[in-house]
Amino acid sequence: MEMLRLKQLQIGYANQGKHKSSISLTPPIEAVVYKGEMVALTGPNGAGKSTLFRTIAGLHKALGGSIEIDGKSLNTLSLRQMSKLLSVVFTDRISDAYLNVFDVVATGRYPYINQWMKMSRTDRQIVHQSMEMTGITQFASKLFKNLSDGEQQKVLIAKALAQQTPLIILDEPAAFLDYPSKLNLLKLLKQLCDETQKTILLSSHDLEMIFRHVDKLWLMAPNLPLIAGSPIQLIDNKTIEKYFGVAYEL
Amino acid sequence: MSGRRLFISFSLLVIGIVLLLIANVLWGSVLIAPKAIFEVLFFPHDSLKGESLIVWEYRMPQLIVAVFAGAGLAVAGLLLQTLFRNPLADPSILGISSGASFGVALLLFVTGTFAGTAVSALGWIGTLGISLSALAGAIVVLIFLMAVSSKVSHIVSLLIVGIMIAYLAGALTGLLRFYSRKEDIQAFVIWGMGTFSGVSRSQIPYFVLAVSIGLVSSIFLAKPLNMLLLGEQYAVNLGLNTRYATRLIILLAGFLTAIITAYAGPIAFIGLAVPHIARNLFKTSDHLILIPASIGTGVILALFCNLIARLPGIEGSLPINAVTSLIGAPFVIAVILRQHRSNTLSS
Repeated sequence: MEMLRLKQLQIGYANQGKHKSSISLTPPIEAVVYKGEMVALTGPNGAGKSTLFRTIAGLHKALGGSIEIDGKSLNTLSLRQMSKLLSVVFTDRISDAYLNVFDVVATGRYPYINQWMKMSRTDRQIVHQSMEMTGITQFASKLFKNLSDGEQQKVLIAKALAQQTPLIILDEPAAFLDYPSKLNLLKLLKQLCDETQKTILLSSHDLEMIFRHVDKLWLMAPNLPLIAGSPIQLIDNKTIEKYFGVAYEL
Repeated sequence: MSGRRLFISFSLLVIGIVLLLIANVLWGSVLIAPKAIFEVLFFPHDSLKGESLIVWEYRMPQLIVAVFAGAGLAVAGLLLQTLFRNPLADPSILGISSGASFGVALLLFVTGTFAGTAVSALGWIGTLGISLSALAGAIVVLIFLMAVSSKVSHIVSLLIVGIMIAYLAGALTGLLRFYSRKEDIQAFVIWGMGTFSGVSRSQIPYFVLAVSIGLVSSIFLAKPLNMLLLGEQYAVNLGLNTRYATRLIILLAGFLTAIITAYAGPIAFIGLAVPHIARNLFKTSDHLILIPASIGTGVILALFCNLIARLPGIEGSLPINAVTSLIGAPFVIAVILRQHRSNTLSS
């Protein structure tokens, strides 16, 4: 079953003003992610990885083409409907002084509760389950800002789980983590895919790391078309070499 | 925060407000015996005419204005601090109070130079005129801000535009003052010091109604405000139309600032200090709690300042702006130091 489909998608920046022009970052993108898959997007800096993620999440306008999430076109979805299909984990820091871990995870329930934010027993259960799945239950009443980078990352993943979306997008989730935390994180994500049938799309620079854990790689580089394939396949046919500009061997 | 602690904290706020309300009625630059005030309030008779006048015409209106100005400025400050994710944001940051100042300066300049009369000599018509011109100046800036907010996509750009408007209005105000007559300049300086006694009794219902509408509406923004705490990207992903929410927040904070500045002058510090005090007191970021907490804390700070400004023995009353800063600044420093200490202890 298709979870995400990109059709002739063009991403980049439109110049509004007197001279209407746009800067496309890559050739039009054709790609698909199936339900339960874990896909890693990688490529050199400046390839447009973050822009692609922001475009899929509806935070950035596409220059052309279309995006379908769970068979529905992004253009026809309201923000509210989107919030129940796709959750994001970005690199932005949350710096508020008094938010504790439970509060942050509970924001994942916002799309489901009314403006007085009263959570039902089921909502609370979902929040607790999400914390359990990511192993952060013992931090529940700790202040978010006092956690380490790795722990904060887990809290944000728990928030995404509480949002109960079939698709989760993570932009550079391992960027600030040390080696053991990176490994733990990828294992956790893989486990979520296998056990809960979540579809996960993440970006990373760290080829060695993602290799062992993902089902599929998406490769991006400036002015080259996005290409998808299994890690082994992309190494064997020298595609990785072409996209990164350096020889790569396992 | 536990329900019990919440109940205790709010009860303390309410008790504080009640005590300060009583103190504000009992205490003022003219000494009146508590017994006389009790009789004026509950068993009025003719022999207490002077006392009755002071209580009903001066102290009561002043008290009501202090309560609503304190509450409104506190909420406006909270809204803007969350929107801009900046602890230094306050109601003056968007240039709305500068717009109000410009409106007043323009009125004083025009009447003084072309009509040849000082506004201050016109009595209550002059006072009303000053309020209306302040309101007009504030609303012009607010409309301009709303137009800008639909054009720019970054909240920070909006903040910079607001600060620029403040400079612009400040410069124009300076020019007008340079060419104004001496007595008009003095009237302007006095207006700029802020006062809780500038609203006449007949105007009070309108003032109370307008501020109340703003306060009640703010509660409906609690969820969008909570979402914005996570940053714009997460807020959008949770289903918030951030552009729409931004405009609503600016409109509401601007409306409150405009109304209060028009009637009480540009009152400094309450809007900046109160949200910090409320957050620290209630140890929460949840706006469903922070909004009423800021209202309560704002009322307490305003009433306390009003009390200090009219200490017996002081001729007339002290300028409110001086008092709010004198009391507010040390308080915020103390709050920050305490926060710092608890941080170092817990980490």
